[in-house]
Amino acid sequence: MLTSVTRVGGKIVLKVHEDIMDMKSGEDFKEALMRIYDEGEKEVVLDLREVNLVNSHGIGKILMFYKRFQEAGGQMYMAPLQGSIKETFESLMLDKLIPSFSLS
Amino acid sequence: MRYGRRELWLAAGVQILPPCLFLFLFLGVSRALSASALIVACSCLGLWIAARGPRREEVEAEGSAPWEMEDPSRMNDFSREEHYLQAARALESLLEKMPAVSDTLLQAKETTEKETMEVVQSLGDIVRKSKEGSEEAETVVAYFLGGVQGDESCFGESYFSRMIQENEAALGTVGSLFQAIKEMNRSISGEIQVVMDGVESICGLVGEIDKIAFVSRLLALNAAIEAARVGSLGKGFSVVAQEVRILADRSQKAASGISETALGAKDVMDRLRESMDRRLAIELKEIETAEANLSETFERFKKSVDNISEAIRVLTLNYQSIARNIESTTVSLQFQDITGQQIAYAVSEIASCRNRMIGVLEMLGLDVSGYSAMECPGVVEGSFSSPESSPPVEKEVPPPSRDSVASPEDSMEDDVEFF
Repeated sequence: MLTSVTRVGGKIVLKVHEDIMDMKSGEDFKEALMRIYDEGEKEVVLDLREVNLVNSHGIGKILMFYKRFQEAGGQMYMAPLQGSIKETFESLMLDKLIPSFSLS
Repeated sequence: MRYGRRELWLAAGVQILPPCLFLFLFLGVSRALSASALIVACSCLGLWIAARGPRREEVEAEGSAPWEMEDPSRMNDFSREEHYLQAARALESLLEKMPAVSDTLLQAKETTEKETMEVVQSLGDIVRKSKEGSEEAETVVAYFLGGVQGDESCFGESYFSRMIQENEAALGTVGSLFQAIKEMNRSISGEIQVVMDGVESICGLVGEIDKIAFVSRLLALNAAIEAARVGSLGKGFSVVAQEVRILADRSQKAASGISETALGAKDVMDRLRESMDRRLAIELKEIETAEANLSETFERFKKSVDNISEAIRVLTLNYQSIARNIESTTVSLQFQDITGQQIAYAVSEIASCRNRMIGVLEMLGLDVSGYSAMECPGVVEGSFSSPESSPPVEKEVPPPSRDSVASPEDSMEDDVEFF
């Protein structure tokens, strides 16, 4: 399973277990976000700590749903990242766009 | 063609009786009997041949139905009965075929509906994915390249805009650094000039020391001469004069050393200043060239980003246009429901005709217990069973009427007129 969902406080945490690097994993990731969005959740935390790679198949979806949650009056957060994926998000300036939310 | 018994008796009477009567009146009994026997024999042969001809339904099956061309009102009872029997058999044949045709049409209707639904569903999936892809592309473009002018984005300034600003800031820092280096070089050059002026001052002071040493040496020499003329009384003064002369010599040597050192330092400072001036000129030129190149590169980069942004925007619009076209196609496919209704209408018509035929057979007094009345699936008498959501029908559909979709009661009247 690519993702799993838990609730922490008033926020839904979407934990991603595998790299998002092709069309299939991208579509699965989008479906998971779409379910959360369709259920009317306003605040979602993306937990990518187990992931080493997120390429354009995942970045586009993250941006799309960041915009959707913003327009719906919600907010997307990001669990603190480490390693290469942190560098990726920093180089794309996504760390400045999406607020961090500590899950520990 | 094979005739009935009544027709044959009628034909025999018409053919045999008049000639026989004629012979008995004009030829005598013996000859008349012979001739009559011959006529009867010939007539019997002809009637036998007529009785063995093909039946009427066989002629009908071959495509020629002479009985249809005849006016039933001119027929006698015998031929009318045969006429009805032939029609009844034709109706029976049609009745047997109708259920199979109706089933085929219903199967075609179900297949059409199923295939149409599948196509509509597939197109719906394509539309959904196209819209999501378009939304994703638009979002990515808005984040990296910026949204349409006047369209406020939740991302604020675009990624490339921020990158350009950061690079421009870095470029400005580099330029300031170059300016500082240039100022520092100028300052050092000025300080070198001050040092060289100091060296020249030292050289001037050394000249003064040389002059003082020369005068001191002359004074010492005069003092030694005066001391020698005084004799033993000037012995101490002679020692002092000697020491003054030694001091003058040492001062001259020190001044010479200082002068050589100062001149060497001046040469070094001259070469250093010339070198710094050359390097400064080269560096200034390189800095100006680098700044110009960087500015030009950034301008090209901005234009490239604008072009890419425009290209992706057009691509996104095309994506959206495709989605709209597929949506229109989906709506058009939903009109395919009309085809199903037409098939249902045709099936209803067949059922109606079959029911009317059963009524005709019943009217003719035939056993119709083997024929069950067909239902009219999906068709309300006199109108289509179009769903409320269906758009207006654009195709020309034959509107069902009370004449075409008649009730069994109505069909009874039509049946009489049919014959």
